[in-house]
Amino acid sequence: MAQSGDTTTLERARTQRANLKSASALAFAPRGVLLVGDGLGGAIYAFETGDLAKTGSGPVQVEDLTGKIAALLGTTSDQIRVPDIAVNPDSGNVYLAVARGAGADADTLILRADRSGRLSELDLETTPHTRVALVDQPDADKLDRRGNALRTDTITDLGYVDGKVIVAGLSNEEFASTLRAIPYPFGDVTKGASIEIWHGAHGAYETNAPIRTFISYQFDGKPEILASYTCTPLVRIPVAKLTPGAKVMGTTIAELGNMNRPLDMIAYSKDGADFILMANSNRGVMKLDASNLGKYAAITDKIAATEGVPYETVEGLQGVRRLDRFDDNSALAMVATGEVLNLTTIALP
Amino acid sequence: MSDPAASPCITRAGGTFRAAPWSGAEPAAGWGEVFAVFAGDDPAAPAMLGAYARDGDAVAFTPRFAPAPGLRLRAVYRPPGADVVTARFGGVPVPPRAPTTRVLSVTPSAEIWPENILKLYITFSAPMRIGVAWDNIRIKDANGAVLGGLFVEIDQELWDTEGRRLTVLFDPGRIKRGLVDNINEGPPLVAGERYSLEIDAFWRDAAGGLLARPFVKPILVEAPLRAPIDPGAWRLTTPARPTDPLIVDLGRSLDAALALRAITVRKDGAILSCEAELERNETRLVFNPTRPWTAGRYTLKAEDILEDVAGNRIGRPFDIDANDPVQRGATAQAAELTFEIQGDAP
Repeated sequence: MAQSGDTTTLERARTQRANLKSASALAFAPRGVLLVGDGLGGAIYAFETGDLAKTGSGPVQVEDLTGKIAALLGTTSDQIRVPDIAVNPDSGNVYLAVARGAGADADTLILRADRSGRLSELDLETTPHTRVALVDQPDADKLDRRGNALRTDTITDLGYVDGKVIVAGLSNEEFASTLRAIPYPFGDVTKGASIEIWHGAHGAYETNAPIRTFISYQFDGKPEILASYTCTPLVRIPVAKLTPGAKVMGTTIAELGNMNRPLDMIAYSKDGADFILMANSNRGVMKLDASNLGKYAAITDKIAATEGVPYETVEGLQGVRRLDRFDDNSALAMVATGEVLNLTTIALP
Repeated sequence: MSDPAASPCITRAGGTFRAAPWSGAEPAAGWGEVFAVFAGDDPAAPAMLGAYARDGDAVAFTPRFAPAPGLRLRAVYRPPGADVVTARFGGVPVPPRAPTTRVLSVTPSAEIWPENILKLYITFSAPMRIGVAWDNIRIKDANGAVLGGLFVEIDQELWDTEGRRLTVLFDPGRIKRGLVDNINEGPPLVAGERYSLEIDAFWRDAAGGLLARPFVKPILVEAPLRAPIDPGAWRLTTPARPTDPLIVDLGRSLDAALALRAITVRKDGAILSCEAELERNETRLVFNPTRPWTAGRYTLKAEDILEDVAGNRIGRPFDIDANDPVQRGATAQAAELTFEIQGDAP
């Protein structure tokens, strides 16, 4: 259950099916609330899954994930996409955003994998949910002559941080870099306030910088987000700065190699030390030493390809597309091996 | 009631599979324990999701989704105390679709692009398959070598709601001056060089058909475009007759999507209904009024989200030089131009 007195919104939502047009990003808020980013529908959904009981302790392993999902949904694996995964920290069940169909009119559903790898569907008809709309662009819903809305937002990541749902998105038209911070439980708002995120490139140039992936992180007890831009570096942004209409400059604290784009991150502790595990487009999985993350000065000069927070590349982890924290000792990874996608639990390095 | 002498069988009618005979209540472990339908023969694959119901002397199963055409289905019925019954349905191959889908346009339409070009729009004649764009779009240099690392290759891809128009962003890490990749790798495309943009005919549309033909566009790259958009330099040709169009010459190629969405004609603050079209490689915007112009004062309004092909906005270049006192602190602006239409036009 959401911990709000906003029962009006919740009551209304209980009576109708959530009409997801897409699901490109998933994350969990406390108490089993699954956040779903629906870019095509221009909305964020919060589903109260009620999935709160620990379901065991073993790892999760699903070989040929798209093949299994295709069998479940009566189609072939080339008709299945799995844009994101999220582990429910309360139960240990894995939630999967799934598109069934090749095109933009694909059916969107949320599947759940338990520890045995058994897949079931989250019932969008009966699961209580709240929804917040994101559209705030001039004429964003303008239709072409075929009645088709051309402008869409793709939600690249979202997460629950310090009472807010933070949403990173990319428009298919303007290069805008808006981040949104929406108080949760969703109140009587129709749209999330947007914040312009900027990147001061080494040297002198400043640009809009869309965020591709982020995690929350505590710096001296204060919540920040640790983010990667579409143009790569690792930056810090204090959550307190994410106020409506703000223009925020991220502080670059690491450079992670030429031509490399982070895909997903998780934070963890091991043997008393803090680390960040990062899946990358070109450079495998990196383990960043986060023990003194707050002490790295902003990188402001023109520099070599790697600088700032030290990292090592984790051997033997190839093709990792998505990561989430599974438990104290392991991470869940969606791994592409050739054409096959597997869901696997890996020990935190 | 079921006839104990009837031999167990599975039938399919419409979208529903029925296993009979069945008597008694639902098994404790659920109907799936006695009756399941599988897509294919893989023994490791789960049964199809769907809804079960008791239907007279049968158990009925309706799949959650209509099975894909051509899929071979295997239904398994385990009646208590009798042999397992397996039945197969479908599996008739679907003939391949004729390739009819084409690339309708790529914008920028010009064959000369600035070095810091930020994005492309590829429009197809029918909805396309999503999730395979990066395997099917490539840019080759003058020697025919495929260039890597040019685009923001996000898994979700940037489509319109119908799946006909794809936005391809060039990697801003290589365009933005001062970034490591811009310094070490240079911009994606280099001024003075020739390239070709190629879209593979093996890219299937959403219905499974191949493209009718591959698409090739030659490109010559010229100097980067770093100045903000200046609406003060736009040239307006106002209508001489009430049904003539308003023509706006923009002086440079604007972003094809934003030019049509973020520039409007207004009268007394209200947006006028017009058919807007881009011409001359997106350097000219033509507004055809849906009703004849009437005399009065009009405003051409450009929103602050307007971009040119290199991401420059009105009053703000794509990457701001913080050491330049003019650019420092620049923000994108909206702009308004006014024009008069004289009374009683002929």
